Amino acid sequence: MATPEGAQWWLACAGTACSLAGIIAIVTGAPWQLRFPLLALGILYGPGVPVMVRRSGLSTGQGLVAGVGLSLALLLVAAQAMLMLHAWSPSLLVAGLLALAVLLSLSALRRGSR
Amino acid sequence: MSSGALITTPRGDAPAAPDGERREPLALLQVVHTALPIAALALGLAATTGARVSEIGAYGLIQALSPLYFVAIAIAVGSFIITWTRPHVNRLRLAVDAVTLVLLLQSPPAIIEPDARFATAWLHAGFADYVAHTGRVLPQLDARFSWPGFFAGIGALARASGLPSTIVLLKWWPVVLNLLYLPPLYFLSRSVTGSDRGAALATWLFPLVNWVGQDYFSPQSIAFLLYLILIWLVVECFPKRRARLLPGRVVSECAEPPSAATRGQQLVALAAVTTLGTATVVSHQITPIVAGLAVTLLAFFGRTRLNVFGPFLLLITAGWICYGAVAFWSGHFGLLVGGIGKVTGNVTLDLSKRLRGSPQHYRILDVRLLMTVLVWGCALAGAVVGRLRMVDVRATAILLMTPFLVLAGGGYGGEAGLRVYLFSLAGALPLITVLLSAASVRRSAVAVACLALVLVPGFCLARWGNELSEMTRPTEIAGVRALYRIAPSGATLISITPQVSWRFTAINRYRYEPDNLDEFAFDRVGAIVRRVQGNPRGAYVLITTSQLVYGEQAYGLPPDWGTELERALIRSGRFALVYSNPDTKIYQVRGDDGHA
Repeated sequence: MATPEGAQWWLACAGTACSLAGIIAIVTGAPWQLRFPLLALGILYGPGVPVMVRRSGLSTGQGLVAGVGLSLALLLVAAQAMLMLHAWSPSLLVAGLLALAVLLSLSALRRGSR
Repeated sequence: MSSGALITTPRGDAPAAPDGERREPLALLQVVHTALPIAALALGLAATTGARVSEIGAYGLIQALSPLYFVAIAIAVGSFIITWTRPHVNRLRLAVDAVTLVLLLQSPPAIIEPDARFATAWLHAGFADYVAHTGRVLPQLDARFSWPGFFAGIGALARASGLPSTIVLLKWWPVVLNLLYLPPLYFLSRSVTGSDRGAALATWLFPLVNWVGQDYFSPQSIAFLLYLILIWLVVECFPKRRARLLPGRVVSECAEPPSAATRGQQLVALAAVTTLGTATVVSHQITPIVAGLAVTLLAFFGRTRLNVFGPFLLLITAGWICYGAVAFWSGHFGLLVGGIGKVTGNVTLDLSKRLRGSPQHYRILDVRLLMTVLVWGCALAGAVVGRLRMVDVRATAILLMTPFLVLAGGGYGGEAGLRVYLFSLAGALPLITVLLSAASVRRSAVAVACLALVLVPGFCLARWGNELSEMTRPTEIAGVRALYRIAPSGATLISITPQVSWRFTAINRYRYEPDNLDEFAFDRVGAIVRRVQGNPRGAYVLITTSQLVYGEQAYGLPPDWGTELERALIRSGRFALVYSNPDTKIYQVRGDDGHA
């Protein structure tokens, strides 16, 4: 039976892979049929999941659910901020959130491997 | 980090008896049980794909669904009851049963109908696409642009993904959102009841009672998800030791759970809750108000130690209304504050807009009211049973009752009742599980089965009863696209009822006259001419099958009222038919000289 640490490790790996794939899809201009599922999954994972899974004290499952909500909320708030600042750049916004997700996930993976 | 079990363990959660006293199911039964969700999905899919749009009738989608579909639902219900009454709680299996039910209940329109249903979803797609491509909002155009967070977020994702249009998302959006609602609802229910089994039942019941249909492509669909997660985190991560106010004696000394959360972890949780709240503030009008009130009351009645967060959320909501939504309230101040305190008027407005129409529509309304009464009645009964059994029902009661405070704030365009019902489910469902879990496991199973027997057809009627007018016909979309080709920029476009799937593109290219069937039903030509005259760019009237059906269903107009309307338009000599397909007519308004 998988340990919580093992589940978190796999979750971080999957999230990192999906987020990286999403960034690559944006940069390469992949067809939307491929790009959208990657970005949607990446955004749902977002910075929220690694934060809530590793740093909130919740269980892995709880952290995952809370993290999805946090990632969605971050997308809405960040996009709103861009609108208000008249600095609309959707690709930069989404890629930035995915990059943040990658950084946080790698940090979690590194901490977990110690 | 846990809120701790603040209620007595339901009898259904009794620890498993020692080995030898209970016999595990035989291997064959185990295999059959495992296959039940698969069988239900396969049968449901087969039954749904065989349904025809032409069979949708005055009672909606239920007329197009074959008996096999309901056999599939029955299998899914049976599967859940078997899983739920097992001695050991199998969370994965309970999750599979809940997902199966959501897929069966929510997917029929997406499978049967060629285009996404519900006109307002298409309008929201137009808003999101506009923001995606321009990076701007049009607050003078529509009130929803004063709360643009949802459109900005989805627009950003769509633009970054290269989506041709957010219309692509409309069809399966309700299915995805209903699946996303399940996990936070489960955790919230578990936090307030302290019971895995109770939480599983509450989560499983949600798809059956969620008939209000606010999960279409809309700001409120995401806002409700954020609301569930926010409330859950407040209760889960910031539990309180002792009730400040509790009528009668304190039924259970709420032993403060030995919190293993560090200060850093609590700060992370607080930051998450704040972000969730902020997202609701910029995305939806009602959700942050309900959330702020709920958290305030939870703190007041001792279910969370976040004493300041609720008022803080209400404060930033007020701040957004004052500064971020100034374009809205400066032109709609009466609408914003006119309903405050007028509970009777707001309820009357909500009901009067809905309690009229054809005989079939009245029956569907009856079903909706009965469903609502059943859910709230069972919830209140659960609260009473809980109190009698020394169960702490404060949190659930607060979550049930808080949304009703919205009725004191305004009619919300006649939709306050729907929103109250939806938000109340977060508290109602755990209370229903308290009621259903009060008896033995066997009796609870029978009760759940009986409840499902009522809720399944009730859901199909309540949710899909207006499908004839709420579905979008491909020919109507073709007609709307033709209208956008024909009409020059700046022209006035008018529909006679709200039920038209348009404005999914070029939302600010035309002048859209607000529809008002009350006026058009009795003074058709004159009313239309008064609305559209005076525009040098011209004016066009769009008449679709959905609009005509809506007039019959919602207003009780005779079946030929559309034909009579068109005859009146032609007899007047002021309108010329410029486009026609089986479900769409476009009439151009002639000038006073008889020319277009």
